Formats: sequence, C-alpha cells, structure tokens
Amino acid sequence: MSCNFNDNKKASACVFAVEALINLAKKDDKIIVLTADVAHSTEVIRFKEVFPDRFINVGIAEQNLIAVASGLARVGFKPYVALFSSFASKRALDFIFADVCYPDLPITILATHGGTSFGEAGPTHHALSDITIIKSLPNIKVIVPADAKQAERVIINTKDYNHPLYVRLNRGLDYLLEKESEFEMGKANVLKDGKDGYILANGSCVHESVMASKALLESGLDYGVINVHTLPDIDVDCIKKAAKTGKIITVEEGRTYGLGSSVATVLAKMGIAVSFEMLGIDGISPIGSHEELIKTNGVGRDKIVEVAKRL
Amino acid sequence: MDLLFLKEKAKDVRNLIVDVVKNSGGGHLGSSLSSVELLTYLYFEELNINCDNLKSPTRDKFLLSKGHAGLALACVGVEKGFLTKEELFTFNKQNSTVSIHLDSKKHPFVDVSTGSLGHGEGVALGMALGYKKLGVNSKIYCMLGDGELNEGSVFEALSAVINFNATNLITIVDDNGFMLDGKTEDIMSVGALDKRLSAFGFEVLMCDGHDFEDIKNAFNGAKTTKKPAVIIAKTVKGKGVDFMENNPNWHYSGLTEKEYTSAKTLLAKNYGE
Repeated sequence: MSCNFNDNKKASACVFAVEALINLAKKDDKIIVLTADVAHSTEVIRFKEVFPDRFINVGIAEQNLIAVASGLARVGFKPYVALFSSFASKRALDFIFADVCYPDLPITILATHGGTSFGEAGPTHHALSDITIIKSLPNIKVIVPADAKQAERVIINTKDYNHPLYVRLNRGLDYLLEKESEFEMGKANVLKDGKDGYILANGSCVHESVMASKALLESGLDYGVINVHTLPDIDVDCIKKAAKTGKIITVEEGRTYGLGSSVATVLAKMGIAVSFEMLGIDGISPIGSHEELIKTNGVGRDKIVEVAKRL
Repeated sequence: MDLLFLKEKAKDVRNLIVDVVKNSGGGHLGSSLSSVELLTYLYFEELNINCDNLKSPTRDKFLLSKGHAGLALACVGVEKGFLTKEELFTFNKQNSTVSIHLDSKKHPFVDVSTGSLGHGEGVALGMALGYKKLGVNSKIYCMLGDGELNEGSVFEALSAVINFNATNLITIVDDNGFMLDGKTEDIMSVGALDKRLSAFGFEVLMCDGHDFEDIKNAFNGAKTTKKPAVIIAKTVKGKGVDFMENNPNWHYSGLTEKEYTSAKTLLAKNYGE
C-alpha cells in the first residue's frame, strides 16, 4: 500500500466534525449541543445557527457544562459537548468521571484546541495530558483523528455509539492526509507498510510520520506508518504487525503516557522485545505557532527521522 | 396532608437509619437525620413517584446532591416499597446495592449517582431543561447541604438556573449549619444565603425543615412562584437523637451497644414507640 504525500492541503477538524453533526441532527432529534462560551472557537456556532433550540451555552462554567449535559442525557438526549481539551481534561475532570463515565451516559465530548494547536495561548491552554488522563477513566474511549476528514468520519461512525466518548480535535487547520482514512473505533489505520520499522502515531503526528517515512525512504529506510486513533482499547494486532520489524517509534502531541505507554504495555505483556522509542511532550511547551511547536517539541518529522536512523 | 401519617413515617425512617448504622458499623447519621422530614414530605406528599412508575421517563425526579445522606433516602425508599428491608440491611457490605452514596444503576428510584459534592444542581438543571424541551410537565427537585454551597460548581449551576429560567426545578437546601470540620459559619460561612439567592433572582422560601406544615407551605410557594424557587430549610444535624444533635462527631460514625440503646430510647421519647 503506497502513500501519497501531499504537504499543502489543510482543513479544519472542528468545521468538518460540526458539519457532520449538523447532518446527523437532521435525522436524530435527540442530538443536542452544549458549550461553555466557546461556540465560535469550537465551530458549534454553526450548529446553533441551524438548530437554535437544540443548543445550550452555559457561559464560562466548564463543570456545569458537563453536569447539564449529564442531566440531559439522563432524560433521553444525546449531548455533544464542545470545550477546550485542556479544560475538559483538568478543570471538568471530576464531572466527566462522576456524571459521564460512572453512569456510562451517551455523551460525546468534542475536546478542541488539542495538543499545542493553540500554541500562542501558552501552557494553560495546551492539552498535553488529556489523552493520558481521559484514557485512564472507566467507560470512555479517547479518539484522536488524524485529520479533518477522519474527524468527520468519527462523528458519522459513532452516531449509534451510546457510551462516553472523548474526541480530541485541533484548533485551526490540520494537514489532510491525501488518502481519506476510514474510521472504525479501535481499529488502527495502516497507512503504509514497512520492512525496517513502524511509526505509530495519532492526531497531527500521523501526517508528520507520513512525511518522515518519505524522507526515510530516500535514506534507504522503509518505515511503515500506522494511525492509532483509539485508546485505551488499542489495536493489538497492528502492534504485533509493527513489532515483526523489530523497531517501533510512537509519536503523539502530548505526554508519552498516552499512546506511547499503551503501546509499551502491549509489547511488555506480549513479551516482545523491539527497539522502541516514544516521542511526545512530557514537559511544559513554550509558546509558538502549532506548526513551529510540533517541530520544537520533538514530535515532528525531523525528530522522527533522526530517531529512526538511530534505532 | 395527613400529618399523623407523615410523622409516623418520619419516625420509622429515623429508626431505620439508626438500626442500619448499628448493623453495618457506620453511616452518615448527622446528615441523614437532618433530612428526614424533607425526604418524607417529598416522597409521600410532593413527588409523583411510586412503585408503579419508577421507570417512567416522565415522572418527577429527585436528586440528592448531598449524596452522603443516601442512607436516609434508602430508608424512605423502604417505606415506599422501592426496596426491601433485607436489601437495606446489606448497607455498606461488599457488593451491596445500598451504600453511603446511592448508585442510580443499582435502583430505579435513585435518579442520580452522587457523592462528590456540587454536582446535583447542574445535573438537575440538565433534566429540567430536557423536560421543558420534551414538553414534560413533571418537576425536578434537587436537595443540597449548606456546606455544599462552598463548592463553586453549585453557583455555576444556580446562575444557569436563573439564566434559563428553569421554573420546573425546585432547589432545597438542608441547612443544618454544619460540615465535617465543624459549623459552616466557622469553617467557611455561606453568608446570608437567602439574600444571596434572592439577589441571583430566585424566589427564596424559608421553612423549619422539621415541621411538616411549614415544609408544605414552602413547597406550595415554590410551585406558585413565577421565578425559579429555592427552599432553605433550617434543620438540625442529627435531629431526633439528643446526643447527636449539632455535634460534628456524629457526621459519620458507628454505634456501640450503649449508644444504640440510648439512641433508640431517645427516638422513642421524642417521636413515640
């Protein structure tokens, strides 16, 4: 399976996700959207324009946002809650646990501004621990789509999934993978097969991995790329496949305790020894643009290439 | 309203609370005993909830935001026939469906799983907004503790109740004046609660939380106002057992044989056999 590397097309994951949600809502009157004063930032303002009576803005009150969504779910609605990942995963965490996960309600959290996609806003707005934190909660799945088209597929393909979901989306525009990815929860996308090693990534790091793979080919190294979009129910088969080459690199825009740890755990449990390196952002990120920070924080194509050459 | 009936029920609930704590080794006596009349009134006079409609998607709902008074709610539940005495007496035992904080997945009469304070009001608001959108005429009731009002999330929810004009939500504060470390006014006073909530835009009704007539008037007032209502019920933590009243040591405790006998004697003295 080859992979076309087109480095210039970009699209907004939030726009694609919200537009998909609007289409779903036309046929499902149980869908209701909530936000905490970030309707414009998260693009759910579009949903409000189409369905003003199915939209609730609680103001700058993230904890209440989750509680209200919980109450709505308990009387039969299917709430989609839009807020920034950083605040969802930390400020509203007790509410996500107690009012979404514990009662196992059909609530989808659209956690926007993921990773350092709002780089300029600094550490309080960077979502680097969210994947780690949320994947550790019961009854909830963390989904990190690789691009806007996959974000759209996530919304469409989870329409009948009636359990908690945390979908991490970026602010602004992300590179589009040239070949559209399907989405099936828990089933990773193998974008490219490899003989010398594999890069396992999620979110923005998938495109970076694809670009790194191309560069590595020019150096005579054939690295495969897999988009591991779902946690904690990680696709064990894809890890086994990757492990056959003896070299695995994981890359994520966040703590390595997220995707990296999950892959490491699988390898350790299966007793598989590979040359293994986890790339992520385990400290506090400086400010900058998203694109700059991916590079600076060591989760971009250059770092991946450097590590692959070393492994 | 059959006052004698309600008083008899309240007496039975108090006795159950004390019996269960003796049997299980520990429970939130203070907080449970302060809420007895309120819960008795709610489930025997106010709420349209009974054994036949527990699973109805359009009945009234009651959220115990001060979830640690779950024992009191469970005892009222036994009196209503929602669960058996046998089930109640598995309280706090491994795998029991009845424990300090009730779980909505274990019993259909439990409308929300609480325990972490400051959650109930927001969830209640969500239900109230949902009911309004669905055109369901039933009401949502949420009971908080006065100490719980320290939690910022409660005020996030209260602001929203006013902003959304959720008149189908009736909020009750079981104001027993105590929290874990001592009196609320000594640890972190909530100030003049009636004035604070009135300034928010609530219709504030005050009542003696142990007087059924007073409670009735408050609930009737809450239903006839055009604004969202809050009932501030002045209660006594540990009400009914003299040595527990207004004593923070009885927030969560077991009972020795001597204490149990004494408690039962006092309940009989205060409420009859």
